[in-house]
Amino acid sequence: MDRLHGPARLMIVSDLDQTMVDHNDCENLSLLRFNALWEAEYRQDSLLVFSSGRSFISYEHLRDKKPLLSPDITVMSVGTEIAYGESMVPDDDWKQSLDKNWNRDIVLEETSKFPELTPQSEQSQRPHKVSFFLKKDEAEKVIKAVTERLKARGLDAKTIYSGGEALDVLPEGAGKGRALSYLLNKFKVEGKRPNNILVCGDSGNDAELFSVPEVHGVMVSNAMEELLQWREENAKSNSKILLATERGAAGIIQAIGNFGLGSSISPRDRVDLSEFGSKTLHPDHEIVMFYLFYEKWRKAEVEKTEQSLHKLKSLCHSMAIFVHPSGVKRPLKHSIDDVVMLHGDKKGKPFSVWVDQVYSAEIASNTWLVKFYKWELCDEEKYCCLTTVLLSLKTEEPDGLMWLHMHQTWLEGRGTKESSTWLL
Amino acid sequence: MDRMKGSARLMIVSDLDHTMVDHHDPENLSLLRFNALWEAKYREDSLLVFSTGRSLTLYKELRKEKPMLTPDITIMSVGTEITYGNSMTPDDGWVEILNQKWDKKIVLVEASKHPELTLQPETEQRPHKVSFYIKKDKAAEVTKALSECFVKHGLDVKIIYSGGIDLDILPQGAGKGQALAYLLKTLRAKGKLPKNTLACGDSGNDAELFSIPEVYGVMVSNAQEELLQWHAANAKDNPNIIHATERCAGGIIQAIGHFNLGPNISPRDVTDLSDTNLEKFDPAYEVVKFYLFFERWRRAEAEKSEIYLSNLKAVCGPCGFYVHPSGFEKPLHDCVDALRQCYGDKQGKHYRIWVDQVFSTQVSSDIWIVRFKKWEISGEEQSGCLTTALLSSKDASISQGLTWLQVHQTWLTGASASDQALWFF
Repeated sequence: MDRLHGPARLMIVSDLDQTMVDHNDCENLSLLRFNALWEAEYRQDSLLVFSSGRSFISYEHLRDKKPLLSPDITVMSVGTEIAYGESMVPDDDWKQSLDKNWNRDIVLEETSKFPELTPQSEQSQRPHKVSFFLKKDEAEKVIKAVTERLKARGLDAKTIYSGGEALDVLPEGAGKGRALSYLLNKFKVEGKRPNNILVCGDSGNDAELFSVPEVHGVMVSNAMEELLQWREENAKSNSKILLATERGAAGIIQAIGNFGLGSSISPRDRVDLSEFGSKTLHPDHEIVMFYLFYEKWRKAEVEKTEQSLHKLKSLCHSMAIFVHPSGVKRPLKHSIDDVVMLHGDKKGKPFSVWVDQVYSAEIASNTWLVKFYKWELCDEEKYCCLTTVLLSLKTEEPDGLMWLHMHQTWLEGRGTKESSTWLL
Repeated sequence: MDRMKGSARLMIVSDLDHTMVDHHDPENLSLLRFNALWEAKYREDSLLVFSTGRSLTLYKELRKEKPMLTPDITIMSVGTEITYGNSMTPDDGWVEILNQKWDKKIVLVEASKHPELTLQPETEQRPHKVSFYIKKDKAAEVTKALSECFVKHGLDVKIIYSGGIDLDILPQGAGKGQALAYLLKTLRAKGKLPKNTLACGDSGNDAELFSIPEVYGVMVSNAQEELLQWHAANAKDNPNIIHATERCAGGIIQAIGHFNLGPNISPRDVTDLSDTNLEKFDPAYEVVKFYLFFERWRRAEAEKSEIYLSNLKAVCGPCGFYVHPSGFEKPLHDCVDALRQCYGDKQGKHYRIWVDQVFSTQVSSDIWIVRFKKWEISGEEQSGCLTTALLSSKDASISQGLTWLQVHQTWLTGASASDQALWFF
């Protein structure tokens, strides 16, 4: 959180399953739209927080399959585990605070008395989260009884029922909402409370998020009955909560627009993708636009026209060098030529390209150093390079940004020996 | 070759075994001294040519064992193969010349009639080179017989005896000297004749190099008797050829100084690197200097002083970052802090660092991109990274204002370290 020197312009706190990630959208179109928007417009000065019921291991599995961005903060296991940054530094203060009047053994003891409760897998059990499967029709009765029992044993615990089937027993102080409040408090103390906060969810365990004061909220169009009911009962007149008409991440984008939190047109929604290289583009935007174009080019979703060819060929300085992740140096224009030749080679195939953690710094007048992770998802294989690009404003026609230099290194475990398939 | 738009300031054409490479120096100190000097002061505007009797296979083997730079031009197989650049593109014009009055089949047939000749391994037999082993006492006799025989066949062939054991049969037009002459001719035709050329050798097959007019020559101190004899017989009064008093690459550096061909103090010979006062910001020198310091630090050959670390931090941009070849990044300041842990961790061990092909490009008034290969040899293992460093210097006056903005590394194909975590930068 030290990345930002001041308050974040926008902080998005989103659930993952069926909110950020629509499991019914196998091409991940909404998620990719959100990614492009976030990286182009928000990454530098805003915060992305994932708040999920999943444990960390389960979260990693999800990351393996879906084109998720790297969040600034991860709140896992229904708000019982908070971690910061890419290296996932755990928040030990938070952990400690959850120990108050919590006793996992007692929870196990009491819950074992209920045959309706089936323990979830080992993976889902965490130090401050005990999780079960519980049928909908038995839920109300069991929840009431368990709550009483735990109280009688002197514990400060709560239960959260979600997804029409899952029951989590957590310390009273835990939960997605509590975790968010804790974070907001921390920011406030540092004088860095985000200008705007948008929470996003779809199911029971997200309800708490919408109760946090002064946040905007969006319930995606595919939100579950239990959450809609909660809203009916608790937040019907809250104008800061939107019931989106779009599914998943598309609903999040909709909310950004609806509440006027910033730009809500994803680069993926633009018609003219060959905008890269344009003078008005900020370097982050340039990178996002270029790789969008690159994906569409290879899928033949943009036409090979005089204009687009010209755009591609005038992208880089004639002497620009590219260090390819396979460990060879070549003129960047040769790689661009390779791209030109491979128009449509991924047509009709599952092929997605996106960028993550795009950061740029102006290192000299009109010269930017941009660093980002560039991802490709081909069939089920994911590849990734940590990439640095040097950009500068052209001094002669055609106007715009020019690529001076590019260097890529494989992210460990995400490389391929077939270097010819990785163009740039 | 097209790398340079004009003429090279200096072209060094050097033999490898026992000239550039001293097989009696397990630490390769002279070679490393030469490397540092070349990269810091010559790489950008000069040409490095290796001219070896080795074939491609043996040349590559040598490269794996020794800390060698990447030359601009490689002349192999006793001047029968000329290749250019990293991709080693062959010179077809040279091949055509060598095909004149040459027939490899006839050579093999005739040579096989002499039992004293033992055929060298397959890797040493090349299109224009047939090589044997033969004892010193039989050499002259067999050479004479074969020469006469080849003339009868209408071939124009030369036979070179070298190192007291190697017998190479080549087209008359071949040989290290001929190859150099051809190279000089080609360069002259393009208007790119180097301002100075220095040939370096130690044995019989290098003699030809010294016969080219206008070329400076150095015979290293450990030169073989056969070369010194040749010199006494043919070039005794030539002031442009010296017999160095230092071995191998040390002799080459000596010659650069003797003939005034340019700077001849290797950064490796400078004890306190932080003392250097440059007139002009020299990015290549900064890179060479840094890695020299880093090697000395790990070998505990520099003092474990906090001052060095704070000086280093001072030249790292506050947002400066480093991309490790395994694909993670960390702030440059953290990298400097990490130096504390590795002080002296290579003390007493075989550990050397060198940089290769250091090229810098100025992209704006303040910003330079420096690209180079950074190599480490640790024990027997060589590992290397293609590295890009972004440096800025607001001021042309040296380290005031020098800032390292970014260092980004990618493993060179086939050269990744076995334990990536041990690679610092």
